[in-house]
Amino acid sequence: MNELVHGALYGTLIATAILSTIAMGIWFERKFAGRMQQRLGPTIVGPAGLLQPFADIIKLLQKEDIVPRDADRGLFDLAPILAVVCSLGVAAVIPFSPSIIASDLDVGVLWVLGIGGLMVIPTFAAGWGSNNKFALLGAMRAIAQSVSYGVPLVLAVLVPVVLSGSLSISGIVAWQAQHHWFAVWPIVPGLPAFVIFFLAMLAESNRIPFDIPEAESELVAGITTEYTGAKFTLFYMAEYVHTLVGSALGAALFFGGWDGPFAPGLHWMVLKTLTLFVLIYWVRWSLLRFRADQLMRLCWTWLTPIGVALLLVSAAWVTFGGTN
Amino acid sequence: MGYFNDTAKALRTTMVNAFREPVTQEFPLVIRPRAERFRASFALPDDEHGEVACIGCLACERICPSRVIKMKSGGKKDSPVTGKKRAYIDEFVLDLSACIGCELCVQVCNSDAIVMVRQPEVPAFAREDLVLDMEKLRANAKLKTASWGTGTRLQEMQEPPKAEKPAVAKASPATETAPAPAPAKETV
Amino acid sequence: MTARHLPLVDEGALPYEHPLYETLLSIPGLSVVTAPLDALLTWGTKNALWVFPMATSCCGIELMAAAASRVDLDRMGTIIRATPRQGDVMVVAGTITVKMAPRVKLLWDQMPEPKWCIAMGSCAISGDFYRDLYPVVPGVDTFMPVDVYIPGCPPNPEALMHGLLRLQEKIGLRREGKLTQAEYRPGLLDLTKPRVGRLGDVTRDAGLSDAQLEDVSDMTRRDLAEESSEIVPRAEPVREAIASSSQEIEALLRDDFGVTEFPKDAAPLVSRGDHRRLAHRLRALGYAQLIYVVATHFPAKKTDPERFEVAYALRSIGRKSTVVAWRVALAADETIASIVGVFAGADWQEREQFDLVGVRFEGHPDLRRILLPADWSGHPLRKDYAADTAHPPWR
Repeated sequence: MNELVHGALYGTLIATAILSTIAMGIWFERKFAGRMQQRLGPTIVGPAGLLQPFADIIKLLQKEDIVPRDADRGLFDLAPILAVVCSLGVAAVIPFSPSIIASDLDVGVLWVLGIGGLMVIPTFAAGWGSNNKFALLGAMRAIAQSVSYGVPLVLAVLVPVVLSGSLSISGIVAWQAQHHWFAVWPIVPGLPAFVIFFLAMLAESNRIPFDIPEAESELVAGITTEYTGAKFTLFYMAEYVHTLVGSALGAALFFGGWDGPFAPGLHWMVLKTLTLFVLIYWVRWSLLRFRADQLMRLCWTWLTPIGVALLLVSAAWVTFGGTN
Repeated sequence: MGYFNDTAKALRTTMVNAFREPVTQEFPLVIRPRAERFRASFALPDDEHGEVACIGCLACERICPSRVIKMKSGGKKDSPVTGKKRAYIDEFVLDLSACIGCELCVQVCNSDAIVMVRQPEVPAFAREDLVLDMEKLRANAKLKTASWGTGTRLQEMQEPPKAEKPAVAKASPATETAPAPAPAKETV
Repeated sequence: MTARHLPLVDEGALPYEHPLYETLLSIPGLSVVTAPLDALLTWGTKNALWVFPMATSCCGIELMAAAASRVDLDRMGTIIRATPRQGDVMVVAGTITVKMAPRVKLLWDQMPEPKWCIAMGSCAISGDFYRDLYPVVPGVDTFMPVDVYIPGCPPNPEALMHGLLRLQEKIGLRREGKLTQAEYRPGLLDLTKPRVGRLGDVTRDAGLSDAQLEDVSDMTRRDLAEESSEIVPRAEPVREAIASSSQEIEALLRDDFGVTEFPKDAAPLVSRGDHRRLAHRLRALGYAQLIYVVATHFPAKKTDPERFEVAYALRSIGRKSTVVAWRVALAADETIASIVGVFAGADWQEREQFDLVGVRFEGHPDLRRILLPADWSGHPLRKDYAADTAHPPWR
């Protein structure tokens, strides 16, 4: 019972914190993207354009809710909700400090991979339910991409698991706090594993340079082609939540999570998460979109073999006692 | 390997740009400098005696490729200022909604009676609001800055170069007032 | 084949009102709550105008420039979305033709309410100086509501931003109930009277009926099946030496095709029956590229009856661009043999000539209109075709 209350309380807190970070994240992305292109970004709405995300959301909620005539109503309505749930669900097992964690699952890594992998379902529900050729094509691309990049993602996540001997994310973070951050030492499986994790996470959340599922020049807007107003808002949010939670996961698995000197754990965790978040936007606004075949080639001929090799190296590291 | 180099290059470029001064000119507050011959709307300026310069010769109406100019000649009268006989117009309508800004009407005008101005018209809520009548065109001549081109100048420019021929200079009030500061509103 | 006409206005549609609306309004003191809420909602709507670009010509470039660094529409929260479902403002930037208009209307109908339309530039506002021509819609406000008109040809990026600021103003006014509706005036179409001079009041050709078209395509498929053996494959080596000099070509035309006259200022006239054989022959000689197929209409005069001329030109790529051209004269009711079987490139060119001039190409596999809408009647490049012909409901 105590655990339930704890989970509900912290879960709500973390979810609220994430969603409010998202609003600022949208503002930050537009400002940052603007500066990268030597523009200003939002300036007119509110001081320094700070109120821009709120104006966007207020506007989107007022828009007409269009459901295409031949759409699969159930799937069409369910998809955006599922998308937010799946992307927020991952946050449940991520420790933001030694005590701030919604649910300290023993198999946290499995939960993350499972719930993260479920994103395929809302994606395809949206594509199929819209009854729109662009949406369906986008959904099919997204699934091909998610399923493929799931493999290097799992391999990369397994490296910290093997090194620390724990499937619980708070266990992994605690291990790192005791010894070293995995991105720092052992550097050979650690840092490359983080790079693979980072790329696979970008691909899983359909971000540039892996955003072929919603390539505007080819597919109008991919799976969200038929979504208006509030439902589109949910998809929009889910994308940002996915990115933010992915950053938090990367920080926890490879950069020691809440571990850091001088300041409380929460500060460090937030700092690391936001750094990765910024890194994602930096990549997003710098690179071009991959072609579908290049995307698959990168996954299957580079990331997956390297991932397997890294897993073997980390197994060898543990076996031959290089642990400490 | 080329991929990695290019990726690093792209990331470097964007990050360097992010710390540069943005080139954005904040439009309603700052007006971007424009070329000398920039033009957007029309005006009917006065002649040197303070009367409307247009004599209703129909040259602009005839040459307009979009056929947006319509005028009604007022016939010859004695000028109240100079006392000499000259032609006047009663009505002059220019439909900006179909104008292509080719400046041909300005070019054919022998009396420099129609000029283009640098400030555009305000985007309208109704199509009729874009029809410039005599009143509006006269007001434009007073409120807005004339563009470089006048009939005299444009015709001079088109003539084959003849060293001995003196320029047919006509004083144009529109061009004399050209450097006057533009009103802040509706200015581009 | 017949184009589906989209209804211009939904006649029966009334503004939707919830049944509880009146009851809610009657609650005393409600405005204390609703006024700030309405202000908030209006503020949100005004400050996040996402643009759905309907860019068809040069104004589209200015639209792109407006989103770029110098003007930066993102400052006022305007971003460009590729799907109509997520746009608030449709910026119609460019000439809308009769063929494009149904698509614009469809995309407009796909946008969710509340939505606005900006007509950017002279073409979108009034059709510009194309407004009297047969394929151009004289202003988008003739078939859909327009909120803001931005004059210019094209308006510069700042003018577009000015237009968006004006739109914000209008949204505020409309929320306050001061300004009611967008401009939507199909009545303007009635004002389009014949203004372009025309040759004479010759009754115009109504074009081919659907049945006739079916007939033509059936015939062609059959013919092609029979003649397919004749088709010269692309990679086949040239069998005869290329006749490089014009004397040799003249000799060929004189000896084998019975051409007697070789005018200095025009291509030689070849008889209608020999024309396809000539194309084969020249292809075999190495003239492998079809440059053009151009049909010309000569209206009836006092002495001459109405007639057509179709001119063809071939080029030999191997021999320093030697060009051979010939003409075929047709009476008004005659057809000409298609050379699609010989030159695949003739397909669309002959369709274009059929579409615009109305020459019928016998043996063409797919003789349909290519540039104009399928429900068009008449052929615009005929001399007796009035340039300002109406095409309801779009112009």
